[in-house]
Amino acid sequence: MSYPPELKSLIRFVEKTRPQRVERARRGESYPALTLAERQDRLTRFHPDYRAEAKRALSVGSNKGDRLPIELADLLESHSRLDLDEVRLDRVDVDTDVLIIGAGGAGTAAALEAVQAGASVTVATKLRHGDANTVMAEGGIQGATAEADSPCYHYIDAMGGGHFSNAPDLVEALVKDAPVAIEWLERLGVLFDKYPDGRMKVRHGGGTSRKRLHSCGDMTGAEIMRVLRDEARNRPGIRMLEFTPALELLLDERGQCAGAVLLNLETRELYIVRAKAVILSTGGLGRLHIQGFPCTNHYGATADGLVMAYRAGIKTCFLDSTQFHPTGAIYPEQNAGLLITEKVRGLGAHLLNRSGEEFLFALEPRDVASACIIRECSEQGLGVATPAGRSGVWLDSPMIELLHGEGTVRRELGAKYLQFQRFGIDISREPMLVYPTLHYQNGGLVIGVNGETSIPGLLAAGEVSGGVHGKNRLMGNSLLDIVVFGRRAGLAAAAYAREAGAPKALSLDHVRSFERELTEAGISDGKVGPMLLPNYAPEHIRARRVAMHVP
Amino acid sequence: MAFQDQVSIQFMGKTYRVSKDSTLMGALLETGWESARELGCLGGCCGTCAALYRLPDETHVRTGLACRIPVREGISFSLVGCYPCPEPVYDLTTIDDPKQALFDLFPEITGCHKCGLCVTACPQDIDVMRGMWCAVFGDYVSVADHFKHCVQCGLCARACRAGLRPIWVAAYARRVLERGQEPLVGGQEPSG
Repeated sequence: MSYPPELKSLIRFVEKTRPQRVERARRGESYPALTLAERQDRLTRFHPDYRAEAKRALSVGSNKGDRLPIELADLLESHSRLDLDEVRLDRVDVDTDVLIIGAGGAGTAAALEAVQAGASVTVATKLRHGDANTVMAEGGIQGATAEADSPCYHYIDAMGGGHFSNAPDLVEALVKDAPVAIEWLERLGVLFDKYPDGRMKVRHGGGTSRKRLHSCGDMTGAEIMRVLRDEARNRPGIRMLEFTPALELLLDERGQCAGAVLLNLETRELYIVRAKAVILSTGGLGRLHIQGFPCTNHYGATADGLVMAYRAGIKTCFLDSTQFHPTGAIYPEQNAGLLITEKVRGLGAHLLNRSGEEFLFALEPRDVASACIIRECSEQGLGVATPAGRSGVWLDSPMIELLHGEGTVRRELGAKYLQFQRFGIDISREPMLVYPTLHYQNGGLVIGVNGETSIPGLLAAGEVSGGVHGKNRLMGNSLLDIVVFGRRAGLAAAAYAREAGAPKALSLDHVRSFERELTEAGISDGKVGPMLLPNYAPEHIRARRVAMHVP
Repeated sequence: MAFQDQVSIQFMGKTYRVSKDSTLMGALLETGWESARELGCLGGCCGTCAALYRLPDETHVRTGLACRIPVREGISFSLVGCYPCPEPVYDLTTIDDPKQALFDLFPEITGCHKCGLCVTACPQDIDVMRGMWCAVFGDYVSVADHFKHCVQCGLCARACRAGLRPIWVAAYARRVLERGQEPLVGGQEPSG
């Protein structure tokens, strides 16, 4: 299943220009970066976020009037899965200080800090503990730990990457905590790539002015998740409820967040959890497949936390901006949508069009790089077509071997090497075909520096929250985000739980009033949320489905 | 979809026709199959979708990750789910003698017969057996290196006749190793 002859003949163009390109790279020369005006031009004309017809205005809720991707707007305006008159809130199944909803990197980091601070912790998660986008993060985690770096440069880079739309206080917290967060991970046992003398190996990512990206091969997120999960399993104070997503948040008589209604996916029982503080760490929206794009995300990335929090009245920000990773695999078909880490470009690989020519500076910020690739495949007509009808550009991984020595691809990009080797493609010898793929939810719930939201007792951390990355996240800042804000939220929730009295009456009135708003706005299409699991059944199967059980 | 663009596959004994460019997991979703288990990142990183499969022209059962195995005509497979492989509970901060603790936590580790079934079972091409012997001899640096790409799918534990739990041995060895090194910066609480 290696490249078919028609693609092999196009690879010759790549091979033809490779010696000169490697020569130029060795001299430290690169393709000129775009000016700010050119960036804006590429974004406006080619970035999927800028397509007006793919968005619609919300008609209800705290962001009424905001234009969001249609797939997300539909879900935010969905109906509750609960029969509000039937749910009994007086029968409490679990009483806990801190309830954490979502057990990826942010939720697990929060659980570790909260339990360390003396709180009793219950974690509810839709799939297995650790089944989250965190395990799929490949390239690395940013943090100003190197000699020539400082949180100040990190701050400017993160702001620049987000087109200066980021919430300054959140970015400040992010970059100042970063070195400490990396040390915390290291102490827990995360094996970062290091030099023999023990110094961290750091690299550039797109939009960084200093080498700041710490990695564990190309499985940085997986390594972090393995360690955090292992540590959480070793803490008896953390109670883990797997295959048990939340359906609604619960408020109390004071209007504070006081727990959640959970659903046991295996038995279809509802559990009522009463908590003094709740942390939402449910991750992002990749599996909504905005504008039909393939995605790099985990099966569970269905924006559940956004839906629940929106019903409770939490404001969201920057949800109109979705991150498209410039390099998702498009060949072989079985790999379509698979993330090709930015580290490949960090190691020096060029992006090339059909003629084997460079057409952008490889480390432009992600949104700009994505826009340039889409332009090359549309307006410029220089994309490479796959047998399945996709179009993309080359990512010249073999030049990494020439720049850094034989065996570098296998060593630094081992996981990726394996994923292509299975299909008879040796990425240290042959380039990969890539096209932008849906990758990350830039925005989310509005939070403060400790993850607090506008509802007392409700906190959020990780991809479900927004503001820290503004309109565009830089590589390596999301792994950092989940660790920094996960820890902060965990500590803050434990502190809040110590101070706040136990909630008395649990209530779903906020959901009732949201339902009323929906009715008043004339929305009665029967769509329910949170989505919980994406539905990949083909249309002809869906059309004939019946519910075999009482919901 | 045209007939020639499809292949026949057998999942848990039942035959389905699915598109030929799919993976085992992609094919399952295409049939309308649903589950909250055995399904994770769909990108070969999480190890949830461990599978057993057999090709029509072969007489042995292979192992792999369902989201990464291409379908082909006549392939027969089932999902392993979570193989019984409980994790030991330990507190890293109280372990004084990591080598002794390894045998306390994983007493079965000395039972390895060197049959090598774990090596053939691993979808990540890890030399699991050698890694286990490196652990026995206290060479945690090598264990860490061998298991860098471990997705903790548990297929090695399933293959092991002596009941070893290589995925947790590796996790333990990697964590103990990092703890043994001096931290680069002093410990602090998060700022702000």
